[in-house]
Amino acid sequence: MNVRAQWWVVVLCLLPLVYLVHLILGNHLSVADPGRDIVKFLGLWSLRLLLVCLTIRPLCDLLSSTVLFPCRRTVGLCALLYISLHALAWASFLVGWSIDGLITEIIESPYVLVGMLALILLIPLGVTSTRRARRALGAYWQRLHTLIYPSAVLACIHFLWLSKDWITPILYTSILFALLLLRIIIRLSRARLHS
Amino acid sequence: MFIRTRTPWHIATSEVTPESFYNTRRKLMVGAGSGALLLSLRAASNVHADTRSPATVPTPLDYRAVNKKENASGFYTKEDLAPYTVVTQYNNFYEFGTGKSDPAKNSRQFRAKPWSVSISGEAEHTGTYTLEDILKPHALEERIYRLRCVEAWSMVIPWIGFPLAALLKRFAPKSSARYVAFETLVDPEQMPGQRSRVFKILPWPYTEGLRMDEAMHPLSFMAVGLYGKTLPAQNGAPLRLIVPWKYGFKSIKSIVAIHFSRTEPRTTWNQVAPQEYGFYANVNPKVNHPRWSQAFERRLPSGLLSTNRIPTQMFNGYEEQVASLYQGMDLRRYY
Repeated sequence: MNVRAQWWVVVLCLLPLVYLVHLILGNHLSVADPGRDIVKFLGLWSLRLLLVCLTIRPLCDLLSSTVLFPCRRTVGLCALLYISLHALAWASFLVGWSIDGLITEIIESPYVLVGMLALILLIPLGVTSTRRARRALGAYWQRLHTLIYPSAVLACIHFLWLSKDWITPILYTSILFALLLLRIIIRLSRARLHS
Repeated sequence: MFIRTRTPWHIATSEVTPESFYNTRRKLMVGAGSGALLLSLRAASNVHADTRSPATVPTPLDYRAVNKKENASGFYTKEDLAPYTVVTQYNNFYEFGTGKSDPAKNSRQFRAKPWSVSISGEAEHTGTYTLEDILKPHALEERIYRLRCVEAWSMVIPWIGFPLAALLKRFAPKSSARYVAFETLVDPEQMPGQRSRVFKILPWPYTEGLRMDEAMHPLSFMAVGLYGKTLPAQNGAPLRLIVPWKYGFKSIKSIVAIHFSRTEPRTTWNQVAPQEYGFYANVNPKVNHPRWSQAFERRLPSGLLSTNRIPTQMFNGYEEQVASLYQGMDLRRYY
């Protein structure tokens, strides 16, 4: 996949942000709580992009093709962008940048801590996403980048823990569970083939 | 001849382009040109919003305005009111869907008439009463209450109604009636959120309850309207409870049954998640929800530049009026 194609993937990943800007400027957010709408929108798209990123490898394995492999970095970095914006939006619109408020939320609302952990785990992945970093780290690069799995799991726990109505979070968690299961199955069948 | 024949060029009224859509058609064309196709499709669906009148239309009520000079009762607060659009467009009413805008969107076909309430249990005058019989003897008054949701947001709302105590006394509850329970309508035809048989959002019917002294407290209120008009469907038409010192899920909507019982009644959210939602559900900043803090709340409407994050008060600011009900009670145990 060439560089131009990658740029199309970036455009695709950033479309939800364009839509969000339209929602904000066109006054289509709820009158009561626009801040929460923004945080929720960014959170949902973060999770969706993470799940898309985790779908690429199994998809390539099933199709026996590597054409989509380079998309993992693009989609992963976009997911990191959305998660960062989600955290920033939460701190700005829901906590108002009050130190007291931030501390209270981190200590008393477990889902905040879990969400922060999910974000923190992805930062080294973003930092080492360049080809130069991959060459420099060698074998450790692959092991470092498996952190996306615990990060996605933490993201789902975060979503479950903050929700009063569990239907949507359970749906996303099931999709993640299915993707992880698929990955394990493909790996096991590969190992059996090679042994 | 009274047989109407349709002319060939006749079009049904339902096929006529809504005026609001017609008036903004140029905006839509500009949007399609400058944005992604997705954006313009979404914009069109917003403009296509149902502009017909809902089945339950709020009508003006005759009531006595709240006394703004008297403070001790708790019937009035000086705080800013949530605007009517906010109160009626941001609701938790899972019978119509779990989104905050679902009740307003999905309740357009809901009819609050004919309505009846069945009274049962430990009382002298049980039976089924029509809504008119329920409401007739009561003079309506206005109460301006804070309503605090367990999700940590709150609004200040001008309700119209009458004291719950006045209603309950009419049925002459016996001394064995230590609790009173309430039940919401179950009608999947009118309430889309109740239609799914595989994934039940909540175990219908929605039920709630109060201890008898809580129900007889002057603050406990039967609301039939807000902002001077009858309740719209999404706010619990035609009859709902307001218990302002408790979390909002106790203020049960669209009541069809009242039951006087000897034992503590089962309540829906307590049934769904017993460690998270208790029977008492008193607003208490010192007792957190297991998964989030209750020390703060956001007063709605909040804006992008003003979060309106305020500290939560004990009993939602009604401590002076209700603290005596819970003297000696461990509120961490009885949450």
